[in-house]
Amino acid sequence: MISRRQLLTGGAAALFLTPGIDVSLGSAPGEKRLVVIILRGAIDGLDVVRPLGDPGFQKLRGPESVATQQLDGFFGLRSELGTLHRLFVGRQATIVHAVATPYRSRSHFEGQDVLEVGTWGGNRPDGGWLNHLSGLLEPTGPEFALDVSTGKSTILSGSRPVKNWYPELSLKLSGDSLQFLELLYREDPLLAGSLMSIKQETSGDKVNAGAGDPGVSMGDISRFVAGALAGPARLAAFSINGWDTHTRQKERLPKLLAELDMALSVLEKELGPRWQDTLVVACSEFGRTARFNGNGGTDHGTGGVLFLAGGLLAEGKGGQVLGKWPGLGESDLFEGRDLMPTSDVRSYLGASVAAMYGLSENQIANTVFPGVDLGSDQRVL
Amino acid sequence: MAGELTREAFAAASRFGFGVAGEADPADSPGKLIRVLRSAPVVPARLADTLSGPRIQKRWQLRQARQEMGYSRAEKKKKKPPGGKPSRKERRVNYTTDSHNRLLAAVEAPCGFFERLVSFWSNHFTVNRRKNVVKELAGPFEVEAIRPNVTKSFADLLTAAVLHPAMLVYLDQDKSVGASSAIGILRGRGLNENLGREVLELHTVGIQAAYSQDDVTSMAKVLTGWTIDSEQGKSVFDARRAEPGRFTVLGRSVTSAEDERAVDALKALAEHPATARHVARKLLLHFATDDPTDEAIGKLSGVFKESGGNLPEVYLALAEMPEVWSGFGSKARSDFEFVVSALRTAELPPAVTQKTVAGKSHTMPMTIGALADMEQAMWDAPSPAGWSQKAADWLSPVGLTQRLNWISSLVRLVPDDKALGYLDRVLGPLASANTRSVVASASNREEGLALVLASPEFNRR
Repeated sequence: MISRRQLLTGGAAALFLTPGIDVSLGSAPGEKRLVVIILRGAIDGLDVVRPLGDPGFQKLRGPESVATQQLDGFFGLRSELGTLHRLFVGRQATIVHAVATPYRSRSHFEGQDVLEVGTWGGNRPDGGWLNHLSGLLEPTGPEFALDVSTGKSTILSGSRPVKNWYPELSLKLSGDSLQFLELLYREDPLLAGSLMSIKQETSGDKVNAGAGDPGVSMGDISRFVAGALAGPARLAAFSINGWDTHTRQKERLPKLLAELDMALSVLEKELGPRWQDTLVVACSEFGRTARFNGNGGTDHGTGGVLFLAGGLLAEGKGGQVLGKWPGLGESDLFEGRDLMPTSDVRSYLGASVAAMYGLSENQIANTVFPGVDLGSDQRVL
Repeated sequence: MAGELTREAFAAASRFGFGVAGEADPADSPGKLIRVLRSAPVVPARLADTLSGPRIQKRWQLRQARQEMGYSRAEKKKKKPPGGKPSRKERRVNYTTDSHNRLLAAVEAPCGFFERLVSFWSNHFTVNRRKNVVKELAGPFEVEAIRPNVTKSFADLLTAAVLHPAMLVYLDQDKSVGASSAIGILRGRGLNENLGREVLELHTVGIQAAYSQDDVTSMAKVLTGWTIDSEQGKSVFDARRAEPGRFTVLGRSVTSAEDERAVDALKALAEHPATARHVARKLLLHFATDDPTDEAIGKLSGVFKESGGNLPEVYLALAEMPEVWSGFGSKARSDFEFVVSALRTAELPPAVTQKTVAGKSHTMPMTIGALADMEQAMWDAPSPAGWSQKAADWLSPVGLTQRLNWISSLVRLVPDDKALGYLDRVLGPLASANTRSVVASASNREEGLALVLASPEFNRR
């Protein structure tokens, strides 16, 4: 029986280096929670996790300095991510730099698809990696996996049941009308399924304040997720949009980072003691160009950044900036323009979930992230 | 009149339009569908004032006035310049008015297919209203670039859309300058690739064409020079911003003069075989099926190529495909289509459609309120790729909740005389036996109306 400590401390690496060890399949996820935040639009890793110790950085980005907090003597973190920094210092957050999926064509649409289905190059799988992961775990029920979006997000689409919800929604129809709707939809599986989800979530006496509601905020979403994770949910995904800073990056990033930081802060607070058993990952489809363009912004790039946070990191590699820094010299850039990706973001995600749930390398590479190499030259959590 | 229509006509009206309600001459054959389309009104009276020129010029004039009065930027932020600080609020009011008018134009249109095509192309050439300047240009974009070209050629439509001021702002072309152009050198400005990329990725050949990063950069360079002349209120070519040189896009060398090369490159892209496939696939995806087959794409793109991108011929070929003409129910109505279709059946008087409701931060007419509640605000697609086309996304638990909530408020507004024979008028032969029996057992009039609007047959097409 491998202890939790072993699993998390480089023990995950040991798991994959030692042949023959196969942790039992589908072991109960028990109390572990996983939250995936998709930062849509391609966040500029270089601007947010700044390689201050690399002389090339100032050459590329200019001398303008921004308030940062030290991470490890080489990298600095923009101060807007105050919660993340506090967690980092407390060894409950970790950052991986210069990562990317195997995808190289810089299209948001495709890049996000790759990030969500978990593979590129072969046949596109049916559904997202988080749905496939849920298939390997012992579900607590139909609300085990939660997709917080107004439609079905790719990362959780697939054959395993997923609950799709958005905070503050409730139905105005009476119980009688609901019964009629059940009859109306009995020959339409899609509508019947959606109606069933609605019925589970609403009760007849819930009053909807209607169109006068204020807009849903990141705080609302995070609170909602934490609430669900206190109940039957164990996997959750939501998005933060707007990272595509082709122009006025200096003016636009602070507000975006504040959203991300708010999400982490609310999750930590609302999860309470369950934070110790939680892993939050925030990832993006790719990074951005190393140089600014003509409009005070950056264009689509390649190598980017991955954030991890949660109590589960404390016994592993919390409080570190991982990855292999490629440098920022002209010949170090990818295609002469982007931060060079030196590791596959999926190997960190894959190793993390393998360690959390006691899954084998085969299970990850066959089912969750097809084709991923969790090999020994990648540092894992 | 509804009683005389065949099931085929009912199905086609839903598949290609917004249902038979309000349809002046429902088509019962593909040929008739296109004939009616060709004589559809291009710009209804309601949209005649939705113009970009005057609005762009007005902003320019206000800026000039402020400068003349010696207002610095810092002062502008604190004080109210002459005429107050209208820009932000006026743009929002323009946007709300434009959305309301566009929606009602679709409700009032005698030919639903024309309006569906306007929305289809508007989605294909997405501009998003969230950028402050685009707010009051998205409506005019649809009126000026899309509507007049729906029944022309794809090349005409592409050129009009890509070079319209709204698109130039939305995708940062107005900020793109050739690095070696006169202004590029003078002011140290450079290229912005956003529009170049999206022209290839979304508007023409699509990702499947495997164009390279060099193609993107070349296309962006070919487009340089194009910007907005605010004083004139329109898009212009400014040679001082144009990157000198010759560029190759997708293997084709662009050799024309600087002021003609963008249009020539766009025309060449319109003729590229990958564009035919990309557009064919999108038409099939929107009108016919969540999963277009290679065979269908091949067939339709063949017509596209042979006709030189003649859109009515392409639409005819699309409608004539048996699985398209007879495939009712395989697609789901988007929120916009749902609201328009429902309002067409309700025939509400202007006093009602203009009534304001409280939105998330401002009041708005109930028409737009409906779309806001369903989170499909006009010209607000989440990315340049446009709105989703999949049934599961529109009829998700969240989507269905929003629809059902709106239905329950709408049915209270339907006049008594419009409620009579509602099921037959709205669904006719499309209604399944199950739907008929459930609606018949409704406990009151409003519930009956609601069940028709909630039915699978009304939410699908």
